[in-house]
Parts: sequence; C-alpha cells; structure tokens
Amino acid sequence: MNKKTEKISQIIMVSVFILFIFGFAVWSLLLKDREFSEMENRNLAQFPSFSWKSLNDGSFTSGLEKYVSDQLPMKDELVTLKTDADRLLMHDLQNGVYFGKDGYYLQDYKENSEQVEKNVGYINDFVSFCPDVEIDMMLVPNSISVMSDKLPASATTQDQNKTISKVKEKLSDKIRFYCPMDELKKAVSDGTQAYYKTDHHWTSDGARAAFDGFVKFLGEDELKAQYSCRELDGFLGTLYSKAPSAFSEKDVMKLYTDKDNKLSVNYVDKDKETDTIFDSSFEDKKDKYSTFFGGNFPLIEIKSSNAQNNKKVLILKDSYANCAMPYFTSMYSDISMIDLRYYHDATKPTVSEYVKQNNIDKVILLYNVDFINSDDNFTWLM
Amino acid sequence: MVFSSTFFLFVFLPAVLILYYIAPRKVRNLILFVFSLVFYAWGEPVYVFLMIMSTIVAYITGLLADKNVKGRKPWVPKLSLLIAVLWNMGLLLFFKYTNFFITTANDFFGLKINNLDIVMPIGISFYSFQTLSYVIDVYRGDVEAQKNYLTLGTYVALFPQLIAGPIVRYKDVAQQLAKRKETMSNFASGVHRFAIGLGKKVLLANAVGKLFDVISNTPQSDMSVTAAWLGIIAYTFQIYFDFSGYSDMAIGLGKMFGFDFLENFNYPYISDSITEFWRRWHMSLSSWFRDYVYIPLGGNRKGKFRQCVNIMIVWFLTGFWHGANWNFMIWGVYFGVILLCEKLFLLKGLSKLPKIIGHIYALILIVIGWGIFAFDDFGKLSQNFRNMFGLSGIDLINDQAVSWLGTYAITFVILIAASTPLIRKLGSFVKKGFPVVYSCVLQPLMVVSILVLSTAYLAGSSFNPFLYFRF
Repeated sequence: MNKKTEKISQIIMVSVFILFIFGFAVWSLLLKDREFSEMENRNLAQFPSFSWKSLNDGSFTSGLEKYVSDQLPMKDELVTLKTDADRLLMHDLQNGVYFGKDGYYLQDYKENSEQVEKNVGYINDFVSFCPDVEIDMMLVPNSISVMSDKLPASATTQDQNKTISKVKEKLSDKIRFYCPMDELKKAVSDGTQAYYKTDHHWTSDGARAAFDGFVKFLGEDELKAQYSCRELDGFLGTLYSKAPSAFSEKDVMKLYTDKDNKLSVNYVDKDKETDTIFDSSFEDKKDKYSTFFGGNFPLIEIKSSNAQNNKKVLILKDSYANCAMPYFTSMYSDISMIDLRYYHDATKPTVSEYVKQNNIDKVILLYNVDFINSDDNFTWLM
Repeated sequence: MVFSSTFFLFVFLPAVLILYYIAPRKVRNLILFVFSLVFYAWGEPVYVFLMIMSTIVAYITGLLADKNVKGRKPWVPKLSLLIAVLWNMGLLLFFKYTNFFITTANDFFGLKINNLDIVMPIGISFYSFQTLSYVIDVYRGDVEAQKNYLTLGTYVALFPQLIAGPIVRYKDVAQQLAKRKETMSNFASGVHRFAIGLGKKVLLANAVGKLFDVISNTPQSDMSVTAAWLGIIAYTFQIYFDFSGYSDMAIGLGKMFGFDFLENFNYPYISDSITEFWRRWHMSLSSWFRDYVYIPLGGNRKGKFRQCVNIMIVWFLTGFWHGANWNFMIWGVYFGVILLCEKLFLLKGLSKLPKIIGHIYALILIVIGWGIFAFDDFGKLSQNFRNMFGLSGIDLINDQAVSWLGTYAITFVILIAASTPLIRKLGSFVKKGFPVVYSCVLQPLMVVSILVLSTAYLAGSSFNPFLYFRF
C-alpha cells in the first residue's frame, strides 16, 4: 500500500469517528426534548436545574448524564438493535421476558411464596367480614404456563400450577375457587389466540373461553348475548416494550360490543359518565390495551339495560378483568369494579362496608397469577 | 465520568476535541488540564482538590529531589523523597485502608471502634503511584524535574489514564508533555484503538458480567458444580475485557491527543505459565512494583533466599494494592507462591512438557485466582470454592446450568476468540491480500459497527421500561 492510500484510509477512519460523535452531539442538540416515552411508558429526564448544592452533592452531574442518555436520538431504534443482537447470540431471556415460538413473548415466572401467602391471608380476612355474601374467585394463569410449549428449550421457569394449588388450598372454603387453565389450554389447541403475542394480557377471546368455563363452574346459565366485533390492529404491547425486536409480529385487539345492551359507565370520583366501556382516545396510542375503560380506576359502576341476571356484583380485579367486561356486563345488571391498587382513600367506605352499603349479592375476585404473586395492595381490602 | 457512557461519547469528548484542536499549541495543555479536572470532579467534586494538592506536593518535592543542583545540601533531596513517599503512602493508607485496619483490629482484639466516614477518592491508587514514581525518578536522576506546574498537573490529571490506568510513568511521557505532534496517523490509530476498547467493555465485559452476577446471586439450592465454574470463568472474561478494554480506550484517547502510552495488556490468557501471565497482565503495575519495590529491595542480587523474600513482599503488596480486603492479600500471596515455585523448579519441568499442558495449567490457576479475587465476602468465597470442587453436596450439573451453557455458548466462543491474537492475525492476513479494501473499507466499517452497537447497548442499559401500570 502506498503512502497516499494509507493517508486516505486514515482520513476515512478519523472522519467516520468525528461524524459519529459530533453527529450524535449535534443531533441531540437540534432534536426537541421528549417529555414522555410511549415505548418505556415513563417520563424522560429533562435538563437538570443548576444550583451550587446540586453541583456539590453530585445530583446535577448525574442528572445531566441521565438527561443525555434519556434524550439520545433514535433511542428506541438503538434498543431494538440491542435486543436483536442479543437474540442473535441466543439470549432468549431478556429483561424477564422469553422469546417464544411463533412470535410469542412469554413473561418469566418465579413464585414469591411470601407475597402469595400474605395476599391469600388478606382475602380470607376479607371473607370473614362479609359472611352473608356469595364470594367467587377466578385466578387466571399467564401465557407462560398456558402456552408453555412455546417456550425456548433453554427456559427454566417455574410452574404456575404450584402457585395455583397453593392458593386453592389456603383459600377459605367459603370462596368458590376456579382456575380456567384447562379451558384456556383447550381454546389454544382449538386455534383461538388466547393471549397476545407482545403483551402480558389475555385476549378478549381468551377471556371469553375462561368466562364460559367460570359460569359453567358456578352452575349458572350460559351467556346468550350476541356480539359485534371491531378490530384494532398494530398493537405492540408491554412485553414488546421490555425487549423490542424488529421482528415482532403485531397483535390485533378485538373489541366486542353487545348491541342490545345499553350501558351507563360511571367513573366514581372522576366526574365521568359514558355509555361504553371503551375509551377511543387510546386506539391510536401505543398503550392500546387501555382502550378498555381508559386504564385502571379505583371504582367504576356499570348499569346494564338488558342483562341476563338482575344481580348486584362487585368485581375486585386487576387489568385482566377489563377485557372480560363485555361478558360480565351482559350477564349482570349492576357491576362495581374496584381496583385495590388505586382504592386507597381512607375517607371512603372500606371494601366490606361498600358491600354492605350497596347490598351487593355477589363478589367476584378476578386476578391473574402474576398479579397475586407480586402485588402488595391486597392489604387495602381491610 | 466513565468512557462507556453516552455523556462522555456525545458531550464531553466532542467538546474537548474541538476546543483542543482549534486552540493554539501553547494552550493545549491548559485545555487538557481543565477538562481533566472537570472529568475528575464530575463524580468527586471535593476530592479534586486532594488531587491538586497531591500534584503540588509532587511538584515541590520533585524540584527539591534533584541532586544535581549546584550548592544543594545532600539532605534536601533525601528529605523531599521521604516526604513524597510519606505523603503518597499516607494518602493511600488513610483513604483506602483505614476502615479495613479498624475492622481488623476490632475483629482481633474485640474492640468496638466505629468505622470512619471515608469514601475512597476515585483513581487514588493510580495517581499516587504516578506522582510517587515521578519524584523517585527525579531523585534517581532518570528524569529532570518539571518546572512548569501546569505541565506536571496535566500529566497527573490527564483524563484518559486518570481513573483506571495504565500507570503512565512521567519519564515515558515527559517529552510528549512539553512538545508533541498530533498527527492524522496517530489520531486514526487512536480511533481504532478506542473503538476496540469500547467494544470490549460494553459488548463483551458487560454481557458476560451479567452471567456472573446471575450465577453469584443464585440460591445455593439451585447451584451445581458446573454453574460454579461457569460463573468464575465468566468473571475471568469479564475482568479481562473490562480492564483491558478500559486500557485500550485510554491508549486510544491518548493517541488522539498526541500521546503514546505504554501497553498494559498483551493477551494474558494465552500464557503458558503464571510467570508469563504476569508479563502480559496489567504490565504497568507489575513493572512499577519491579522498579520501585523489588529492585530497591535488592531484587535477585542478594542471594536466593533474599530473592524469595523480595518476591513474596512484592506480591503481598500487589495483592493489597488491589483493595483493602483479606481476599486481595490472599490473592497476591497465592500468585507469589506460584511464581516462586515456577522460579525454583516448575518452569524447568513445564518446559519439558508439551505447550498445551503448560497452557491448561496456567489457565486453571488463573481462574482459581479470580475465584479468590471475585469475592470480598469470606463466606461467599469459601462457599464458591466448595461449590467448584463439589464439596457442598451439590449436583455436578442441573437444568439451570444447562440453560446457561446453552444461552451463553456463542458468547463464550466470541470471548475465547477475542482473548487470543486470532482476530488480529486474520486482519493482517486480509490486509496482505487486499490492502486498500482492508484499510479504506473493512477497518472503518468495523469501527463504525462497534461504535453503533456499543451505543445501542449503552442505550439499552439506560432503557427502563416502567411497567408498573401493567395489570
């Protein structure tokens, strides 16, 4: 190689580097700061305010570093590149999520026995406060156990069946306990998509299979309502956000409506009343699952004009319940939904007081296994 | 601040480069000095004054340590050398070891002295060795004392080597500090070197470090012999790619500003003996101890017995330098004993055997060494060794270990290849055949790929999907 080509090669190397670091530097200067990341579902760090105190204790400089890394141009794309590079290296478990077969993300599961036992204890205490009410519980397994055949060969996840049996065993025998594992497995083997590929929730169809099994288990009449269906496509859920891959298949979300059933949906304390359980403002956002009710709220009361049963039902729930509400509202005329994560106001009646004051006929606890394994808000049942 | 952060790459480095190169030559040292102080003060706003103070002590004692000044009384250089030694060792002992001594005294004598509220200043182990070697070299007449404070300050604070070495000696860069020529060819090789270092740290060390973290936090009931070895082998790779990657970045950055630092690593894991390993691992530290401890103690000139004692002293101190804890001392002594054995008889024996035997022997001892180094908690350390040698009643292998082996198989192949000169040899082979394509296309392409991928991994590490709203 002669002197000239050597010089040229050096110039190329230096220019490439200068372009790279200055490119990012100038780009981040020009780019408008983002307040919120839809992908990460959190507020991003903003330019830190300066004071001698914050300089001295190091919070200014660390804030500046956070600001730069949060506002990095192309951040979501870069993270996608990282995820796929790791997948190429056969790292099938990233950020607590497995890359399963057929495009399914499956959330890893490790039993937290202490939390499970605590939560069951709170539920049992609650039962003793409500002696005269019928109480049922549906505990929904997550995709990792229903669709365990989709897991990569290297996976070492724990069996949710153990947690389910533990709950069933420790639960007060006043509660009729139901787990739709078999129904969901059957639905999957019949070709129904019971869980989203990119989200940790079950689908509306999965919820329907479980709902039918639940009603049968309780010995009630089966659901007769007829539904029209609207589809929202392009859904990339929370599990995708944890390990975004360029090769992820987008999900389709189904919104079922019972046309013969007029609803009045009251967001108690939020001054909001609507005639639908859907909040269309989320349809175009990334967080599409919030199209059901617009997310989670402390207390929502729903009246149905044309329900199958004239019953007052209280549903204690997590977000798995949200997409099952088309079926519950066609079944029961008065439904109250309480989400214990947000029902924290000490001036409001406790849950058992609520049951008495509103002459509730029936309480349904509807939770998924991951939730009962990790959530610490069951103490608010008291 | 660390090199492997988006702030360094896209704010600090562009800023210092642009100011450095548009400034006239006369003020370039000043720019480096100021930026280095900012770099240091970034995480240590108070201790930067300690470093400046240390430089002032080195500056004054250095000037007075010169024996060749006419009319200077002979005790003056001696006293300044003594002050330099006391200052630097005192600093190191106080900030790094006080709490260790207190804890040890409490344990041994049943005392109840409270630990002092001391945070160790970053890089103190490095810069106190550097300023000390400077004064010693002046005293020995190996180098002239620096009369310009700014030049000496730039040497001590120089951000590329400030917080994790290599331990650059003043006499190696004295000329460059006063007069250096930044060239395109130096900058280009600096870029190449920096990218390699960044990749080693962000892509290789961090990836395998995650495996070590996971395994060392695995409950004993899920452990197996295989997993214990896998964990410590992961650590073996992590510490090499982390540390040598940092040295590569330092050397590369140095080149961008016209400096030539000495090499710090030379493929240590291809060694055929521990003696060879220590000639290839953290070379700037072992040569420091050789020149400023071993040789002054008499080295090998005072008979076999004194040599053995000297070797053990050096290795005890080398171990202790790495951290204020028993395991580091044991680690140092462990290598001292092996080196002694090799010197006395083992090397002779090894040379008669096939090379591969020596290689396996060295690797096993190196990995065991890291097993001592990795845990500063004695309970964990001994538990890990009992796991490694099957003394804790665990299975040889279990599902979890198989799963780790499977998911990290490709990673380990890459790590092994990157620990040898294989990739470099492959490069020169291609270069021979297609010199233009290699230098003008392939090499820049490789550098860009490493930079982009490293940025992606850095972005990924600050990527915190907040999913509590989840259910």
